[in-house]
Amino acid sequence: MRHSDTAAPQRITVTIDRDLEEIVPTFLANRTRDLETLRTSVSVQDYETIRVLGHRLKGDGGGYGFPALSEMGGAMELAAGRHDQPAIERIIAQLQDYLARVTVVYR
Amino acid sequence: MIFVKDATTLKFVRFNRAGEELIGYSERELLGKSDYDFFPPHEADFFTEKDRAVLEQRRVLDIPEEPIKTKHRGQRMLHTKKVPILGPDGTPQYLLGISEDITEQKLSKHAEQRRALMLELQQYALCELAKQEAIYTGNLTDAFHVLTEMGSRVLGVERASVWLFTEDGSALSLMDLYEQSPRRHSSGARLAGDRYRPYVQALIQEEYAIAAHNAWTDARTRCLAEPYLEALGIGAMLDAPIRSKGKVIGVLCHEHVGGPRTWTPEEIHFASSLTTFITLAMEAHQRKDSDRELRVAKEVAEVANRAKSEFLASMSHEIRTPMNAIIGMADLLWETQLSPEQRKYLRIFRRAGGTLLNLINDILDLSKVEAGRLELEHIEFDLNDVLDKAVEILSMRANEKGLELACHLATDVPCGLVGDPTRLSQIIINLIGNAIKFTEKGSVIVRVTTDPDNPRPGAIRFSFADTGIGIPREKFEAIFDSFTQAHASTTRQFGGTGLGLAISKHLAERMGGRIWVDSTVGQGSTFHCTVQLEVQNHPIQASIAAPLQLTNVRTLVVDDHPTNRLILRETLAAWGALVTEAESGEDALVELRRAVEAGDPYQLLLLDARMPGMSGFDVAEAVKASSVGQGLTVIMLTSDHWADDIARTYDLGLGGYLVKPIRRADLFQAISIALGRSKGTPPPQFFSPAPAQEDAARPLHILLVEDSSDNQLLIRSYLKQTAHRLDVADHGGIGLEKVKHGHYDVILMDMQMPVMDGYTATRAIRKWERDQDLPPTHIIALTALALREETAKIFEAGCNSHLTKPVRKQTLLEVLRAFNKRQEAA
Repeated sequence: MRHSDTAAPQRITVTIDRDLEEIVPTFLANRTRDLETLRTSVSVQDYETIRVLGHRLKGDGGGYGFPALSEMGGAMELAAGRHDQPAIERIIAQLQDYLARVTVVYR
Repeated sequence: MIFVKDATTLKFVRFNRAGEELIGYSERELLGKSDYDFFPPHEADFFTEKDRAVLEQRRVLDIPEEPIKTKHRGQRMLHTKKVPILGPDGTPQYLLGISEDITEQKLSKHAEQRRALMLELQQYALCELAKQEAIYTGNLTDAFHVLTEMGSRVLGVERASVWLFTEDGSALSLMDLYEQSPRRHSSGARLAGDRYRPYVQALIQEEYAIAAHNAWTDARTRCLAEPYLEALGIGAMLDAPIRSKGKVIGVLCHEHVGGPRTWTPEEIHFASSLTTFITLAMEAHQRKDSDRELRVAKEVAEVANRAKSEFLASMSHEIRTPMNAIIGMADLLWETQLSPEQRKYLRIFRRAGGTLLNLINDILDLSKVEAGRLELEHIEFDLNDVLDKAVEILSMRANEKGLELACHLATDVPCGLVGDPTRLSQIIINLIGNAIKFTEKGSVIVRVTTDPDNPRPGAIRFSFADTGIGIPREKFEAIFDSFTQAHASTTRQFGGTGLGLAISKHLAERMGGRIWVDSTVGQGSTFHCTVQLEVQNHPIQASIAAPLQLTNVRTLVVDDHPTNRLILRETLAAWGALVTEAESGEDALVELRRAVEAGDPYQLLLLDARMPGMSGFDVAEAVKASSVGQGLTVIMLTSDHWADDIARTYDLGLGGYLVKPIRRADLFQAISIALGRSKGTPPPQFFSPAPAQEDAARPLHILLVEDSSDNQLLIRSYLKQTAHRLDVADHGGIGLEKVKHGHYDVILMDMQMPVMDGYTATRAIRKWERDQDLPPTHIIALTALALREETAKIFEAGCNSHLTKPVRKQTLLEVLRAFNKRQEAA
């Protein structure tokens, strides 16, 4: 489970254990769905939901082989804790960008 | 008396006053008469003969003793000197006699001689009695015979008898009577005490003996006159009271048949002395009685105990059969659909069943030993295996309590032995288990040496030193008795049947050894156990020593516990390694650097994970971050919180881990895998555990309490290809309910969850387990971050160990494998 983000400027290639091939697409799909929830939450200033989502992302990302997602989750959890809306919006944008560019290679 | 006789006629011519008084005749009557006129002819002849001799020989004659019959004073004894008085012509004219009455002198001299003789006789008699076996063995019939015969002979009485008071003291019963003339013994007569009250009274008050010179007139014995004295013709009695423990219990009678008799003080004393022998004989008899009673009681008790043991042995065996069925059925029932209430009852039922079965097994063991029905095996075994197995079984308990458990086997102890390995294990497990049970913090150190008190080969001493509550000195013996614990008030707290030590003691004794304890209350105890085994003729090569070659591998052992360092040093050195020790992380880093600078770097580093100051992980991180880590294989030694430590070992990419207590086989395996791994070569076939075999391990029932469905999915996929069963709860509240209704081996608990977080859930589970009297389930905390404060909070809540997310598949499987292995051992 080693990742590299230097394969192509537009692409982030992540290598993941073949064992997880079945569940990684679901995981990534769920993260795309998170984006909707996060945006809604930001608009209604529901920081608790954002904190929980951030915390889960922090916990789960690494397990699936996406340490970058864990980092984003951790940052989001902290930002939600201090009700830092600009930071939250920045991280949501990062997350959206990452999800758009990530490519998974199973080995 | 002075007298003068005529030399020719021998008639008295002068007679003095003293002479008149002595002889009883006046001078007037005497003058002109000869001896023949007053004295019997034979006396007169004697006097005349002496007179003639004096006169013829004309010299003085001394007659030392001369009996003379007097008129009034009977026979007297005179000492007389006769002197011839010569006339002018030289012929005798008169005879002068000077006589001294020596009768009194003579009598007293005679009495003196007689007394001396009597004393001598009495002494002889007492010495003879002192040699009589009957008196010391308490053979009363013989003793009485000897005494009455001796009394009768020495005192010269016709009758001598021993009488004892009847139990109620109302009568005297004749034990033995010796009559001298017919030389006959008899017994059986009885004298009613109330009829002879004065006599009995006197007897009780008399210090030495009632000496009735005249039994008919003596106030003390008068009451016996009719019909006793009269019928037997007794004239005098010398009766000595027989005493035992200050009480008069009877009388020794000496009866003189005929008229009165004067008893001398010596005779009285002798009679009293004789009673001492009666007292001795009677006390010996009582002692013999009570000895016999004691012996009989002991035999009865032994037979009863053996019977009890036999009974228990067979009963326990009989009970075990249905118990197994009950427990087996309960286990099957457990697997079925049950209401929460039913499950709760069943849980208690199974637990109690297990406890009962253990108790029955213990009783069975103990009673088998006591009944002498325990057969010890006589087979070859390896002491290393026995110790490793025992330590393995108990390591989990030690780890759960955070105790350091170490076992050191001295290098000179022979390991190829012949004996009963199962029973030896039982002793070792009992004593280690005991030490762990009574120790709250600190360590339990097992030391195995050759027996310092027994030079024979195969004599081995095991010592089990703990840092527990200790045992008061007065309990040192009692704790080895059945059903006894040193701290009776704490039996509930520590549990157990109290049979373990009793069984161990019996087993050790059966193996030709013993068990004892040294202890200081509050500081700890050391139990010692010795056994005498046989050494194998052709000792097997230690099975694991050969394959691993650590020859000249530079190794650094880091542990703050000296016993662990000792064990590691000796074991590794035996495999050829060059071992250096460090007792702290700081020292270890200094040593590692020094070795690199000296151009002789270490190749293997064994690190204790938990040390005061710098922990093993701190050292490992420092090593990784610096150049000293080059070519260095690191193995982490962990104990409690091992799951977390295993995960960190993986995270840090270390060579391997080892869960304490250190066992040679594990150490060997961990090192070979680690060295193989770091050299890029697969570990030796011998130690690479076949995956199939691993998966065949007991499937665990695992509960994952986790709010993130993605993480649920991830863990599920990790376990998909294993036999483990996974249940999932979305938060702590659901998790708690699931725990209450089902049984789980391991709970993976996320700590931060909505509704009920992991801390609350863990505390609630622990409380519920205590309420239900259930053993705690192993709970592994899952956290996204591992801050030190958070770790403390996790353990405070009741978690056993801790994994940091992300949890990798290999880490989780390794942790489960380690858990399974320890669980099975226990």
